[in-house]
Amino acid sequence: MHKPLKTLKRFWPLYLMFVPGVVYLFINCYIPMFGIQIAFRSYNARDGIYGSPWCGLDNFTFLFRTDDAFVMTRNTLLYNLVFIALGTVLAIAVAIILNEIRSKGAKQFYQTVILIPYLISMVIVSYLAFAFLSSSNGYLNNSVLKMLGQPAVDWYNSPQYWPVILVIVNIWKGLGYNMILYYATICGIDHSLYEAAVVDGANRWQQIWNITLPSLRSTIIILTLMALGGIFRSDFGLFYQVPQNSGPLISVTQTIDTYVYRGLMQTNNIGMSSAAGVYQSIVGFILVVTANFVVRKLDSDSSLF
Amino acid sequence: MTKVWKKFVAALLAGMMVVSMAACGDGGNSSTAGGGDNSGTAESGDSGDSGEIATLVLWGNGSADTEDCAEVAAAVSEITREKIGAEIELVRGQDAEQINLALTSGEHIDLLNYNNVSGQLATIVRNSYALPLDDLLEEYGQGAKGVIDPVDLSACKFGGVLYALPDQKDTSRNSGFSMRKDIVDELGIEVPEYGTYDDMHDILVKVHEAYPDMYGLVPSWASGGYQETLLIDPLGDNLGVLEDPLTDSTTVVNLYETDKYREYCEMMYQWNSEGLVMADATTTTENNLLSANGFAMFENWKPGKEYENFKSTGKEVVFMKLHEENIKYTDLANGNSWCIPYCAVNPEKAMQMWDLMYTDAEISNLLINGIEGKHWVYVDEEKTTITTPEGVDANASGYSSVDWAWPNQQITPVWSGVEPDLWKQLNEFNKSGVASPAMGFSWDSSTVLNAVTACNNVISEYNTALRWGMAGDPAEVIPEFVSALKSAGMDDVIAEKQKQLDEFLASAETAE
Repeated sequence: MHKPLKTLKRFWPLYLMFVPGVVYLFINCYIPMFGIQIAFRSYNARDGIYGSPWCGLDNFTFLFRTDDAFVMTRNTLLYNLVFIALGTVLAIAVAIILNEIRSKGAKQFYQTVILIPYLISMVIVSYLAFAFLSSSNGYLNNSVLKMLGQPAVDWYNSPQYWPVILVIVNIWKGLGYNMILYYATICGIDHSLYEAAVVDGANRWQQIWNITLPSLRSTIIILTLMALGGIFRSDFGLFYQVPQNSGPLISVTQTIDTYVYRGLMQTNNIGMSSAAGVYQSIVGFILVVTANFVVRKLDSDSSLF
Repeated sequence: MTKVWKKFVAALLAGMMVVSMAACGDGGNSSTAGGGDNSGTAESGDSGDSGEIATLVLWGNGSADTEDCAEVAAAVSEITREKIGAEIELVRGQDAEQINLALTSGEHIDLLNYNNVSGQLATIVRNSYALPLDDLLEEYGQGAKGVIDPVDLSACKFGGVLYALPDQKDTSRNSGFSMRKDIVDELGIEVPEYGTYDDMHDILVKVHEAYPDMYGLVPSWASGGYQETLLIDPLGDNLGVLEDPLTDSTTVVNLYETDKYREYCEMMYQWNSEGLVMADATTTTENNLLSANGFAMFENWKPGKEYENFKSTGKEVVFMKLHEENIKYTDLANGNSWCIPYCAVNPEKAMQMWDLMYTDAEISNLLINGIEGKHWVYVDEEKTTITTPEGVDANASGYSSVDWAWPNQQITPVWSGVEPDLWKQLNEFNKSGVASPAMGFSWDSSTVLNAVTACNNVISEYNTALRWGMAGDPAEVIPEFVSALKSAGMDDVIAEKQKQLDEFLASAETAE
């Protein structure tokens, strides 16, 4: 016990900073864990959580009864993979471009404009999307497509367009926030490296390719790993509010979170909703551990744990 | 360093375990304490007879401002304090999610209107949210029992146990279209009292030609809501229905496989392609579209419905009914009513209160219409008709009058604008309904709950869009829909429902 105490003494301000996070995690993530048992019970309100009879894996069987489990898992995973990949590439690109802007005022202006969508609530975003896509008054149908001489599209009943729409909305909304971390890293790169490169006759592209990107490497890996941790979660607002909960789109907009919500609201079935939640947590947990394992094999310094 | 780190994390996790176990212990205590509370306050409720005043929490339907609710509650409490030794608190305008949360978390509610709960009474009963009422009704509810039609009362039983009391509202049904009077008058359209879908098509075409920018047919409520105009008995949840309740066939069939459903969808597909349907019907978030740019909607008819539509949309309407016969089935009787939730602190007092809501005209009037002079005034000397006070907006008085969502509207004055003998007409209408052969039958879906949930998921994907003609060609989509239902277990659901219905019919026969 001697040594930990010593480190505690030495690093106490750091641990102190750590406390609010721990409290938050504890209240929001650890305490609710005792509710996992609901997934294995045939829950009814009068008997409460402890009084409801156990039912084994009954609640899970419905998930796999139809292809619901497949569809929602596929959607959650693929959307998140696209969000992570495309989001990272675009965020880095924008961060680099922003860094190249010389005028300080312009830089701040662009940064703010790019960040604003992140601060808008998804409910409002859904109405912005509706203003574009609405069949009767939407901007796309009434202005853009008309101008191009194309027939109007019934967006909210045409699932084929939604993977693209959702990706666009998500990138547009999240770009500013993702970019900040990369931009901060770029700002922190030692300027003497660039000066040396200039002396050696490197052009802009070569500087970006050989200095900026390699310096971003560990930030990219950490952020990607963290994003992988959430790969089984989805932005509820994006998948529920933005498609206006439209039935025909369910095959491309159903994620685990919306499934849980629909199960809870439509059938009031708490046990089944919990089962889907537990499924989400377990598979998500396995994914994070696996991803981390792979990273540690490749490059042990970059792994999270 | 890493070792230290690991030890630290281990210690931290151990600490968390201890605390979280303690927290669980707390959770357990509080939930059992909740149960303990029940009996505890029930006792104090008994002692309430010897002077202590209990507080009852009522959750009603329809929008109202908090202050107005408090004012109404205070006025009702004046009466109930004397009569049953209880005061009330009134909450209105809670949506499905708020009610769900309150019920799952065991919030204190003594009387609840479950109109907004999806799945209505069946969901409430399946989740054990409602207390059985047989004994309570016998002991404290004789007044209510005298008012309620026994046929409707029996529809509130699940497995022989009573869980709700039917409101004195419309328990028969006829459906059709409600459309704006100003438009049909202007275009000189004759709207027949009884008509067909073809008649409606002609009307919509005429309106569309005269007003191309107007939405012809709009949803009855947001997100493609529609009142069912197909003449079926939904047998609780539309999963397995009686295709024609006017015949004595008791074969449970898959609605979505019937010709009725296919023809309806094909018709809507056609109407939609002709531009007669609001293009955003399935996604709109607006509720009262007739008040804006809409012309007609699917609507149920009952005596006084024209005025009810007028109250909610501000537009005068005319009706065209689609069915010669009015029908009656279980869901009509037990829909939109009240129950005593398991989390009621004082079920005995709640039942006494409920009894008063059926029998005490003053209480019923206060709860339904609000405060005299503020939310309404008498029009005539005989005090049988009321209207909004001068200077008060009919649609925004702070306390909306949703008379059918309260136990007994029939002992309150009618609003000016409807016929004075509205309640007599309503009773006649209720009696006129031809009862479905399955009247009184409620099914218990718990044994096939997995399949029910899966089927409901499939239905939410296809049904609304098909119903509005927006899912593409029904000839292609319906077979896809039906096969998805089959793989979700629709056949099991129908078989189970058929079995329960047969048992119900057999026992009803022996009872006779």
